[in-house]
Amino acid sequence: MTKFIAKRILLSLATLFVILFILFLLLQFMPGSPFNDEKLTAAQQAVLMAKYGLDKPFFIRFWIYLQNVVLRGDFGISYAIKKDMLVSGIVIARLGTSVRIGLQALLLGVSLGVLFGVISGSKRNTWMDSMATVAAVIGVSIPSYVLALVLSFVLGYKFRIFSITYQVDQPLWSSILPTIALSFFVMAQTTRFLRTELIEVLASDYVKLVDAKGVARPKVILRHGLRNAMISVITILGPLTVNLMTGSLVVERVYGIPGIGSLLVEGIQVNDYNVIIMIAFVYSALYIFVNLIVDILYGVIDPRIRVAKGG
Amino acid sequence: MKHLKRLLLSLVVLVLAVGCAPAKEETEQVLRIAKDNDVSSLDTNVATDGLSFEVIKTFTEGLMEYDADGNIVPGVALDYEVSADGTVYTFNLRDDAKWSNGDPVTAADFVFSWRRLVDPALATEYSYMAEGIMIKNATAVIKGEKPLTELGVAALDATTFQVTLDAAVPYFIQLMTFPVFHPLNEAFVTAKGDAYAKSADALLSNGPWVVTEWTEGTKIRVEKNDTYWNADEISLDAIEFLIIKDYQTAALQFENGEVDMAKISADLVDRYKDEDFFETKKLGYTWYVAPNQLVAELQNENLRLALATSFDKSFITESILHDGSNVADYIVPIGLATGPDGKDFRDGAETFLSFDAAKALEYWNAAKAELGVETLTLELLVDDAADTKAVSEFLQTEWQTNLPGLTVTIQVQPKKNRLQLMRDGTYQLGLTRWGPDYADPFTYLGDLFQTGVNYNYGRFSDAEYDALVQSTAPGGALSTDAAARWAALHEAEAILLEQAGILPTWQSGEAMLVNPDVSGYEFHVVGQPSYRNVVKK
Amino acid sequence: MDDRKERFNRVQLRDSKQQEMLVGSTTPFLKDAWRRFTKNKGALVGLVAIAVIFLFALIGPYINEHAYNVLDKIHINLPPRIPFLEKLGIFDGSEGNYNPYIEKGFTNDYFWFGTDVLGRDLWDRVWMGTRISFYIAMVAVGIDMVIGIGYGMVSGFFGGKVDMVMQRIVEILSGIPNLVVVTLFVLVLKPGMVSIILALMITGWISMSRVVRSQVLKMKEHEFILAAKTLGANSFVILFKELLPNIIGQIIVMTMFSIPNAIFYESFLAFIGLGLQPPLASLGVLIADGYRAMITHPHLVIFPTVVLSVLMLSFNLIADGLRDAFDPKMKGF
Repeated sequence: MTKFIAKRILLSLATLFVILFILFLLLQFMPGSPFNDEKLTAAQQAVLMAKYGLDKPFFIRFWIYLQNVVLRGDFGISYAIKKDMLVSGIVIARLGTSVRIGLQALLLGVSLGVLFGVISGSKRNTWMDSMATVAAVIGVSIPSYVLALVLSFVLGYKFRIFSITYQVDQPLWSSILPTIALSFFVMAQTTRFLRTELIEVLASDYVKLVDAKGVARPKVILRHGLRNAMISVITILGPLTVNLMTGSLVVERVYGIPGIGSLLVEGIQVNDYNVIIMIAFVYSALYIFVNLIVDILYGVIDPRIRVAKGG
Repeated sequence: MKHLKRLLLSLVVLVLAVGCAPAKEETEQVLRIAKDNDVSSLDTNVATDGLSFEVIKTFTEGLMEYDADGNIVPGVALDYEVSADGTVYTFNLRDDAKWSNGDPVTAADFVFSWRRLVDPALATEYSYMAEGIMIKNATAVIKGEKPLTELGVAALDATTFQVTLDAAVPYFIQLMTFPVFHPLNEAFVTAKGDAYAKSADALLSNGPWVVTEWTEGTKIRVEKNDTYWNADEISLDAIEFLIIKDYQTAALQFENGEVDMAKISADLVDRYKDEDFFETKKLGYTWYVAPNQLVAELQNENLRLALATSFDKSFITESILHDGSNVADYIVPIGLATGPDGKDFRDGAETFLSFDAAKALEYWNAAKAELGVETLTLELLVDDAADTKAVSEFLQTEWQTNLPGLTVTIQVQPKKNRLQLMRDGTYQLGLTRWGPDYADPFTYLGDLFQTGVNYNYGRFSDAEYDALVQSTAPGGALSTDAAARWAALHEAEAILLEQAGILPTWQSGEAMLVNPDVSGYEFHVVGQPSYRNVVKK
Repeated sequence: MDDRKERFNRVQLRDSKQQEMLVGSTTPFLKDAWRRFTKNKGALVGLVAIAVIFLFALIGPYINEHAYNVLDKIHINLPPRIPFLEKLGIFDGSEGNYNPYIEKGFTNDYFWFGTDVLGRDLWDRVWMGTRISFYIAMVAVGIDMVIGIGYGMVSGFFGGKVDMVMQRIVEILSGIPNLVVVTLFVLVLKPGMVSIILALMITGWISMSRVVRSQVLKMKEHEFILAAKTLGANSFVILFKELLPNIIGQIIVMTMFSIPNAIFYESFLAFIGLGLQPPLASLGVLIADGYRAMITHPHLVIFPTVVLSVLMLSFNLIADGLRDAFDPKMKGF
């Protein structure tokens, strides 16, 4: 088991390294320079490039960068968004908000998804099942930003129930709409997945046996069906995280949330290299971390996976 | 039972909702301004963008300041003397000006700040301003060829600050209101080191307000500075700059009374244009299309004239932007500079290249004959901002309709990339603008279109134009004869536009929502808005 | 001999679907799947909706007198107005209490979805935008087919070192969130159709290649492949002739799922300002533009949003239906 985990961690680290390299490489091809104020002369641009070491050869720059990242957690300074400030400082100041809203959405989405999934899977082919299924298809189909627009338009603007933007002094209250917008997909995906799983588990021989023993139906579903079905729900946490990240980019924009998603979009607009690299890296790291946890959890729960994956 | 449960649940939600909903009380005068951008730096010497300067102006004060009528009046300076040849300025500073930590504001603070501005180790973007106003040795210091101490600034005593210039600069005094020339407290800046100006507590104020809160990506709050020498005249207790990137959100927050001032985009003007809280103002930016004369076809004058006169500029200003922007049949904008006769540069001045489809067609036919082509394809490079994209689509259609045989493609790029491409000269037609740094036509005519200057994206070159403009430059033949200089500048503009060296398009405006309870807001075509005389009922 | 026959039979009995596959001809299997598909109400609704949208995308721009790219300096920012429906009080060209058609004297003009700030007809623009969405969908299918299947087949069939290297590459590629890859790619190249397609190429095929690879690995163990190999058939021929028909069901399902995904990514990029550039306007671009005027001219955002949502929904319904039809046990995304 330890060997399996160690191997997964090593692989994750290797992937992260490659990602960092690719990001760094890709940015070399980005058009434009971060020092491109209308009023900069070519000579000044050269001075600034030299000041930030951007005139050095690629590999030397990458080496310096890598050292800074690994040893000091320093992803360089921002060139445009917050002049001369450490990117890590800016990103960390915003990371909390993004992660919190993401987790809120995950929690809400998974809870509702489990609820609908259980209803739908255990009362198959009833009107409740149909409703849940339809809701789930809609949930995976409607892009989160469309949902965000609709919510802010209807609840924020037309009926003025919720604040239309995120407000720092009311972090929970004003994050309700973005949470709902983000959680919809999670909810839908969990419902769909759990439904299929539950149907399969409930059809399995051992559940039939429990059933035959005369155990009450809800108990069968909860104790035996759900517990087994939930294990496999863990596997979709990875894809769900990715979706939350993508969603956060646009949802943060719609609600003006000072998170890392909106910062990435801004960094792209003003060519703030270091900001782009760090956020892309943080996204990748989050994703890889979630996948790692899922793998390990799954390996712990279900030894067959470990064997199959060659650990 | 089920219904009861549902009812209870909705009640709980409702109570939660009401309980959490905002409930604010205000006893102090706080002006809340929605801003579509974040500040990039609050370091006086390092900042480059409009909002950063605007915020810096609230907590620092320069040698000179604007008064309510837009006149330049002494700030930290009490008065000043100019030498006969206009190259030495001696400022007498007031002795009651203080930093927010109690230190007096001295001449040494100016010397420190100005040297820091040109310090090659700091490599500030705005160091070019020191060159622009021709401070002695500025260029050599910036290049690292001379030590900082050689810069032409000196503290004669604690309250006497002297600047030596290489030549007379007509707009020198006006630039003393510009934030990069504001003083810095050496002891404080040195003590803070790299952390200086990176957070609210790493800033020192000598202006009307002091920064008390700076939350990443959210807001900046400045509160009244009691150590400010003129604090009695300031009535606002605090100003909050709220970063709200989306105009729509800002507008709705304005409707809800959560902000007092909000800039809005063209898309929203229809909704508010008849309200009493809707205002527009003219900015000092002129937008123009720079035809790249490295492209063989665009060297043809008739083609440039055809392009310049074949689109209906009033549709851009009235229908696409409708934010108070103005049709630009000129390059030096309205309201930028007042001449020796006391009149605005544009007042009574000639206009050029007005929309005239019939004339454009004549030019186009002539151009086709001269170039020996029947069809032509050109690419228009624009920013990815919503307004410029819409304008580019309009230009495309107008050009293609009014100049049959011409095909125009559009290339959209983020602004930084667009600037890079234009600077490299690897574009054909580029929609760009210029924001003036000082109230003189030279900021347009001198900085943009002389042969070989940095911002001459289109590589316009005309010997007569160059000679005229150089005579109006600081130290030029006409730099001391204001009336002749003015005439020369008018003439230079005519030379530039009569051959459509550039295609002027519109002068920017800005549409805003302003709380009717707020009065005394001062806006300047050049420079930053001032909140010194703002009163909120 | 008897012993071998018995073993062969057991394999077939284990799984009835596998049996169908092993029988050889795929026609009954496809027919069967189609029968199951048509029983699925949701999938049929999706199919009809797609057909209708497709039809409109084809002919929509031509059935009124306006054009998607012609500027009209007079008829700007008009709300929707539809004949007949206007008598019911809906789509009568009013915006709140204000009816620009009446106020400005355009009593004979009908813009079914209204017009934008440049006076262009939104009806035409929406359907032109839908065309682009379909176009992107087709490209996504192509990418999935060519790269995904090819990569998965090669990796699975050759196995060993080739497989290991190829799988490490996939692992790393999939370790980077799509979102990051797509945005960076669009950023490095000029924003536009080409870069969106290239960006989709980088990541779009990964899940398809995985499915194909695992299927190939499973199939490789089957006797009939071994038999073909023993008989001296070329390994490449085996790949195509024997394996492909057996995994066609899953391929179709995967492909269908990649369509809404591709459409989503395009509209997502458009929303953060990295989408198609004018005068091309996809649904995503229209939504992004319309969003900015949501409180002034809501029609600009409502119509493209509705069409995009219905499109995505229909593709998902069809994909769901296909999955159930081909392989009720498959738990794909």
